[in-house]
Amino acid sequence: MKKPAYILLAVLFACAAVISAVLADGNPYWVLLLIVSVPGFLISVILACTAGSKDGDIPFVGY
Amino acid sequence: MIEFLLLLIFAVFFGLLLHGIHRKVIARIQKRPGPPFWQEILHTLKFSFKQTWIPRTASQVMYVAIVLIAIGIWTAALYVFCIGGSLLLIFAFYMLHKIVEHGTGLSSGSPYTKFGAIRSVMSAAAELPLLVTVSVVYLFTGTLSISGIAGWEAANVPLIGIALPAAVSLYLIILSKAHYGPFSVIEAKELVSGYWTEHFGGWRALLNIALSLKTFVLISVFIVVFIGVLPWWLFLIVMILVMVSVSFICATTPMLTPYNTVLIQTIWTGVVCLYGVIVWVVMIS
Repeated sequence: MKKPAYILLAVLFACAAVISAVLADGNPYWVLLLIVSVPGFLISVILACTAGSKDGDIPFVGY
Repeated sequence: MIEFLLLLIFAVFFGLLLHGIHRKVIARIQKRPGPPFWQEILHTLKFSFKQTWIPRTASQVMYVAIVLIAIGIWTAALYVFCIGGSLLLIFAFYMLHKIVEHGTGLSSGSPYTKFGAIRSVMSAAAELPLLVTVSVVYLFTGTLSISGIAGWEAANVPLIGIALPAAVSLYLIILSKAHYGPFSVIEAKELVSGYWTEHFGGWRALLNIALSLKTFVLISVFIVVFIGVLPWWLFLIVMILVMVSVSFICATTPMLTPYNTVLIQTIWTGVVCLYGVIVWVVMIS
């Protein structure tokens, strides 16, 4: 994916995280969305930073 | 005191188990079998009985002392957490861990470890949002003692709902200290194992123990400060969930360059600072 796509994903995940955090006070099940959206936000930001670079297109798998 | 010693032993083994889960989850996401969950425990036991010595190029006192300091600060951090002490003290111990990374890298004399040590200074950018995190937690709860914060949450709401950026900052700290993570530039593969390449045998076993304590303490503090006090079994499940979510990020993202590491963490610092100012203005007015 291109950099703008990752940035858009990051914004979407950030919105989902904020909404779920606000709603979680009333209904704890919203925490499930929070658990998914915060890592999703961080992954999108990191991939947005590395998109287009030589090493950043494919996640490093050689551990 | 006996209770604390038992907890210390449990924390070491559970922290090592979390590291094992971390490796297993990363491997499964990357379609590899990966090691068993208990591999890090086996590693530590194995290293404990390996022949060990001090490299000729090393600063002898520093090489040994830094390992003991690592265990000392995270044992102290666990104790502060157990007695519900100050959040500032926990973060002070976290800052001291920077000295451990730096000292471990510089003490051996190897160029690989020195690069790791120098990168650990750059990765200090991750600590900046912590200061705002502490401020935001204080603005909401009026206290910085862990027991006081937990009490406030029991009477009101979990902080994760109303102080999400602060929670993400602490989560970012846990992520930045995880092995194989996008921010783990201090132990990148081009530096062999980074800052602890030259600590082997018994020294590696002791460092493994210190790092497992670090993981246990940081995730425990995250849960108590932002979610609240939970029953022990639920607490352990949430710890594993936090670790798995960190592993998921580590498995799906490449290791960043040192420049990008600092860039992302600095941008996040700006976001959290803005949030902190808004909270402060709202609280004052």
